[in-house]
Amino acid sequence: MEPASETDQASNAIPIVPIKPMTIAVTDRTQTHILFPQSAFEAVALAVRHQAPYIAGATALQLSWNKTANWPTQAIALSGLSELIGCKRLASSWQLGALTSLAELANNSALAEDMPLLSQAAVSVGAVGVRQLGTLAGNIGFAGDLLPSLLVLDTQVLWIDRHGRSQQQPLTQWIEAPQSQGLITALQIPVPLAGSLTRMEKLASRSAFNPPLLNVASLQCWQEGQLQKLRLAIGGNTIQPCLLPISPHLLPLQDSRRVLNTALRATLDSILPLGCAQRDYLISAGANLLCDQLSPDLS
Amino acid sequence: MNNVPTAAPLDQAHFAERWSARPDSTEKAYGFQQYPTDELHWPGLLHGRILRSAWPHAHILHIDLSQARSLPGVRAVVCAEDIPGTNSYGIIFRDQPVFCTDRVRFLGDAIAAVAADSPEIAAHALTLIKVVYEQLPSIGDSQQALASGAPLLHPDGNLLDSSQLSHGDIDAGFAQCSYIVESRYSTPRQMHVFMETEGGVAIPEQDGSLTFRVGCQSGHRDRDQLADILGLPQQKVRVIGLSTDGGFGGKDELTMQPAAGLLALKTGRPVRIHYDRKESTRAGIKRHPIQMFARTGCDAEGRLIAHQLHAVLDTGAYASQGPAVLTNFSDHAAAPLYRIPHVEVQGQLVYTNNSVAGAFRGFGGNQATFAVESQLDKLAQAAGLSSAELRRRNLRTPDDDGVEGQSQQMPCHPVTLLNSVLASPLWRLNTADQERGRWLSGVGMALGAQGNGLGNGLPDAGGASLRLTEQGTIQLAFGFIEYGQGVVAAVQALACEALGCSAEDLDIRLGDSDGPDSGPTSASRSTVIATEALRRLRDDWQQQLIQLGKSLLGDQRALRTGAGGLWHDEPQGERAISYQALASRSKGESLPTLKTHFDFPTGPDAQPRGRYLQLLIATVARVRVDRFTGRVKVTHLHHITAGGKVIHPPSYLGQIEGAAVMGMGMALLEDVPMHNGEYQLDNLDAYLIPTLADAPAQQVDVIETIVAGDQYPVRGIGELGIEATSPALMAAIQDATGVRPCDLPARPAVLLAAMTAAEGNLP
Repeated sequence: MEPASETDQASNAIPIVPIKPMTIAVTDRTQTHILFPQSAFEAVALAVRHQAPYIAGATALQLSWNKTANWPTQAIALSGLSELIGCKRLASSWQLGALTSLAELANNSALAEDMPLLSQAAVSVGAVGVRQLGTLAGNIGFAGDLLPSLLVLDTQVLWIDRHGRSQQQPLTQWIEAPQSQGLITALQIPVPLAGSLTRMEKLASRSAFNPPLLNVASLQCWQEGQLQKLRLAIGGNTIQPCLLPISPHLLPLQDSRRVLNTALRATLDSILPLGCAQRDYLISAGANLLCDQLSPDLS
Repeated sequence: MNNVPTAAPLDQAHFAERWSARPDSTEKAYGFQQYPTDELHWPGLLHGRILRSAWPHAHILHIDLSQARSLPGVRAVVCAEDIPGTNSYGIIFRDQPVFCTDRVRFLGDAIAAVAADSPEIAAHALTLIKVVYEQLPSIGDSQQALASGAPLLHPDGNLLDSSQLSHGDIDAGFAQCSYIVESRYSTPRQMHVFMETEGGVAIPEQDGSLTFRVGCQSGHRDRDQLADILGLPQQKVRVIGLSTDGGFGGKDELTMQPAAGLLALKTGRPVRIHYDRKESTRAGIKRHPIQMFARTGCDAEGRLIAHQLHAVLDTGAYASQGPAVLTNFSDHAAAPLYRIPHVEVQGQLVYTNNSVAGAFRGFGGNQATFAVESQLDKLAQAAGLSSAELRRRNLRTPDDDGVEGQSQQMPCHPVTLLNSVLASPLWRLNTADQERGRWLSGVGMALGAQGNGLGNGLPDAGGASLRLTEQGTIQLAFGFIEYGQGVVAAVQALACEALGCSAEDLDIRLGDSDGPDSGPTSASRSTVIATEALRRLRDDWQQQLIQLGKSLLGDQRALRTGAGGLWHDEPQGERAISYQALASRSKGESLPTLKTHFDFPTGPDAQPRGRYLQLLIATVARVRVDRFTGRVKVTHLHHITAGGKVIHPPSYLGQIEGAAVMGMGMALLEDVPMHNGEYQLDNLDAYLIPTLADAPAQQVDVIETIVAGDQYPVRGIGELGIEATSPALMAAIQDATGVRPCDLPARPAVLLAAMTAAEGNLP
């Protein structure tokens, strides 16, 4: 997808609805003014103009605002934008609209057939009500449960930048430098090659309710006894989601599982920030879980 | 022993004759039950909100209510100077202000309250109340509170109370021991998490009196306190404790009633206050967090010689039921199930700037039992005995006095429960040869004892009234309250048996301070009170009804009370007269009306401490522990209970199973961490309780046979199920992993670290 031109941006200019001035601090949800754009481009323009957040399911945002009693003056509702909805099977990939609900991700059987990892990851997010409301892009915006799985699947992000230009980049780059007011419109995920083995596991106080302490995901692609591809990723509510720099040479496993576990610990130790809450636990549990994913037959 | 009592599974097959649906189950299942916070129908109803302190500890320099008062839709704003009576409350010591004047001591402290036309306006009005504080250093834990130079939170200092329970010579005792184990234990600040948070409505009456329709645990005690606060005579205050959705001790103390009452008096309109979960977390009572150090020793044969337990209880900013919790904790910390010649228990109850701790199912006993039973397992290991064998060698008998030297009534010999444990299919499950895969299985057990009643030496009266109404119903009234425990079902079953009537004849009234005072709905006492009251009323009642019947019928044949009325007391005798006919035909004659009032059963001696009526429980737990993450899954719990006669089997089952799951929460999940008086969580998104998905398969067995001569065959079992759960779970975790958690909740991170240290790098 080509970046949008300045002309495109101008053609997408839309009238801005006048906003009622707010004279008091917004301490309650009922006082937040909700703006309903007609297109994704209008949504970006409104967000930029009002420095307002996007909301779709708002399952995480509401909690956060409620906790601090600090609600935004305005918020940009995306829920009416049909262009952000829908899952499409392309030739060798899936394009998933930003507003695809987590429930849809969990229940789409065709998607599950191609990418069972994503369905499994979606089921691990929140309670049933949260999955009905919560969206794919919302989960990415909050460094949510899906990210490690999306990372190992080599996901591309399609988005509109604050200037109204359409962009596409790997999810790894999006995570490293998320764009203020940038609006994700869709994800494009290549269907894993035949012979791929994908796994994920979420560690949380309550797995299908709380944000993850730790999420681990892996993809191994074996063809004719050779490891063609290896991806390991972690994430969590205090961990920047990332792919792990693990050498595929570890996997043939001539060595014992203990060696693999030790290597994974060392990798996690080098990645997790020193001040990270429960750091030792995350390293220990993370290494155990990843080790199990990579060599389940040895458990 | 002849006639050794045996445990029977509490299920429909074994209790078919007594098994019935709870009388309130249909309306609850269909959502028709009206709860105190559903009281929205009152004409002119206003919505109240309470302003809480911004700081855990501060001086109040100034309060400005003017902006809030001038907000359109606000009908009243009240603070301390609007209180016509005393600005304090508390069940034991009235040390908690209704509204703070010059100082706040925790984040739940109330400063002012607003009544407005809508909840939103009331909430907005709170933001307009300006309070100027001078922040003070916060006392965040008991150690800080007891340190020299710590700021004093109350005039008499930060040590609210202390207890000392000892007999023998502790040093000489330890000198005789062949094996001694010592350990530190801690238990969490647990929340009650009732489904219905604190709430209700205060309604001004035309005669100047005030009626409260609220969720509470003692209408009479609340009335007494509220009358003092509101400056009204007691007869001008009526508290109706409606059927509420959960109490567990958390509604024992006054909650929203004083603010709602003051606002209702001020406005002359009904005022409803309902805490949301955040306010409930911030202001509500919690379970006492306790730090313990225990040392226990036995001789070479495993006979217990000496036991020492020192504890510090964080009671938060105000006393509430803290001193009574400390007493019950101490009783349990002295290992009441075991004969030990040398015992020393010391407890300190300490004020801090943390959340107020008070009554909570188990009342301090279960925290102590966690430490005591853990000590016994460790000692058994040290002495090379099985945990069951060590207990068997040391159990008290029903002939022994209690730990306070009080006479006590055990329902059966504790060894009966121990034998049932050994026969439990869970206990016999062999986990020793399991493969060291990802999930490790383990089994553990613990014993527990629980007393009924508030305790010897404390005012603990109960009462009831019984009358035939003009409509011909049998109206039976108690002061205690149905808050989900199933007391309505128990009262109904007891009344049908004692009075010979049917459930349809009964009109059971509970929780009205204008009715009989049955004492608080706490300490597992209601079923005992109901049984005793009906025993006292039964003969007079039947006599009066039969006399009335004979007089109306002009027939001297023998009668008996029965379903629907009086029956000819002869084989195949028919009904002689219905209760409705008795009532309608007795024109001019007063209908039978009886009252009774008595003290809760205590022993024959004058020992002013301890509890007379005892219950026993053994819990066997099976867990699976994730060797990769330290997570624990409780798969099975098997309880053997000796709690007297089962009155209503489903309610009994619900109480034991529910309490056990609550104990599971304390053992594995629940805690409200605080840092310098600041809550580290404020809602159920971070405070997790066990859900149905976490609940294990449970079996409850009951031993109904009681020791010969026990005059009280019916006991209250509301707290029994929580007593032994946490030590049984920790024993099961140890069996699975080799690691014995001593700090509750047993966190996966701590467990994994200990397992990793024990095993080396996993896997």
